[in-house]
Amino acid sequence: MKCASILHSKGFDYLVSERQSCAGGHVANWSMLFPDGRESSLLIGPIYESVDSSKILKGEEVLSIKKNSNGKYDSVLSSGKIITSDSVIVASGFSLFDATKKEEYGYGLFEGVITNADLESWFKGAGDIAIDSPSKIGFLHCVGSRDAKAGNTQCSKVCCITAVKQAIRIKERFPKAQVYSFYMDLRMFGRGYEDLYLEAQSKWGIRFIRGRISEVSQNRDKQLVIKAEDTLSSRPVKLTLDLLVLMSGMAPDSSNNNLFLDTGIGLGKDGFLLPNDIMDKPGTTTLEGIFAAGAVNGPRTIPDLIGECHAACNNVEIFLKKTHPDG
Amino acid sequence: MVDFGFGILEEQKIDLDKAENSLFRSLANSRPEILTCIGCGSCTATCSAGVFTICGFRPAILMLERGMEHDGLSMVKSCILCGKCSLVCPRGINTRGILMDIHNLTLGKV
Repeated sequence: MKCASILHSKGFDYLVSERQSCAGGHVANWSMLFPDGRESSLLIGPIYESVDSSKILKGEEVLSIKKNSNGKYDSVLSSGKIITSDSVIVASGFSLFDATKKEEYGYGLFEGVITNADLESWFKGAGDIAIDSPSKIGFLHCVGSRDAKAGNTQCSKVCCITAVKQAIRIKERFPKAQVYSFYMDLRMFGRGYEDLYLEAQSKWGIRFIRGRISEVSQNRDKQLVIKAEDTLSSRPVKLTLDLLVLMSGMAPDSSNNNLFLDTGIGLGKDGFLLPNDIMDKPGTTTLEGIFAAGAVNGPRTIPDLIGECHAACNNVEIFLKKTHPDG
Repeated sequence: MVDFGFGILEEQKIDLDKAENSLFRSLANSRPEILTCIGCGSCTATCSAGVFTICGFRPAILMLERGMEHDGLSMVKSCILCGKCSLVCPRGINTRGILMDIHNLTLGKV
C-alpha cells in the first residue's frame, strides 16, 4: 500500500491486489509500534488515504506472475482475472510462525500460553484472549526463529524489541506483576531500541534471563511451570507463571513458492526472495521489471520496509523511463 | 614500582594462550556442528540426568572449548544418552552423537 501511495504521488497508474479484506497487513493487527509507541492506525491511515481506493482490489491474491509476448507482465488473480502491467512490485510479506509447531511450549494446549500476536490483539481490545490480572508473566524470545528444528534458521529481527515493548506495556497494565524475559541473545540494533531495553530494566524492573525455555507444563492450579537453564549462572531454572507470551517470528509466506515460478526469480534457502544485490539494489529482484519491497525479501522492520518501498518505486520509475522513453 | 594488584587469580584464570583443548578440536573435526552452538541452554534445561546430578551439555562443551577438560568431562559423566538434548537443540546439533564421541574418546580416562 505504501508503494501505491508513492506511485500515486509520482503520477503513475497502478492497481493494488490486496489479498485480505482490509489493507495494512500484519501492522494493522498490531497495537502501539516500537520504538516511539504510536498506534499502527496513525501510520496506516494516512497511507491508505493517499491511495485511490478504486484502484485497490480487496480479497484478491496474485497467484502467479508471467511475462507475456509483448514484454509486459500478466498477474493472475485468485478470481481468475488477469492484470497486465509494464511492471510489478511484489509486497506479499511474511507469515507469522505457527507456534503450535513448537509443541514443547504448549501453545493451543495450555490456556496461559499465548503469542505476541494474541497479546497485540488483546492490547487493541480485540481477539478472544482473556488476561485476568496475572502476577507472573514470561516472554520467550526466538519462537520459530533461529531454529533449525522449526525450519527457520533466520533471525526475525523485530521480536527482541517487540518483547521489550510488550513487557513494558503489560507492566503498565499490571504494575504489580513480575515480568521475565527469556532470551538467547538480545539484538537491540535500531535507534532507540537500547533505550527501551534500558527503560525495561531500570524503570519497570523486568528480569532478563539468558536461557531458552526447553519445556512448559501445567501444575494442578493450572499455572504454567517452565524449565530453562540460566546460562549465566549455569543453573537449571524452574519458574511458575500465569502467562507465557511466545515471540513468534517471521516465516516466509507459502505463496512465495508459486508466485515466482513462471518468472525465474528464485527463493533463498530460507524461503524468502533471493536478493538481486543485497547491498546495492534495494527493492529490485533478479528480473528487470519485477520489484519487491518488504518482508517478502526477509524479516523487515517498518522503517526498513518503508525505505524499501521508496527504493522499489524509484526503480520502477527508472525502469519505465528506460522502456518507455516517450512517456 | 607500585603494584596495583591488577593480576588475575591463577586458579580463576582461563589462559587462552595456554588452553589445551585438543579433545574439543578433535570433536569439532569429526562433528563441525559443535562450533555452531549459541549457548541457549535448552539441552541443559531438558537434561534427564541433570535432574539428579550436575550434568549439562552446554557448560560441558564450553569448558572443553576453553581448555577446562577435567571440569567439562565431569559435567557429562552422568549422561544416560537419552537424547532429549538433541530434540530441543535449535541449531539441530546432534548432541547425543557428540556425547557418544566424548565417551569413546575418553574411555578409561575419566
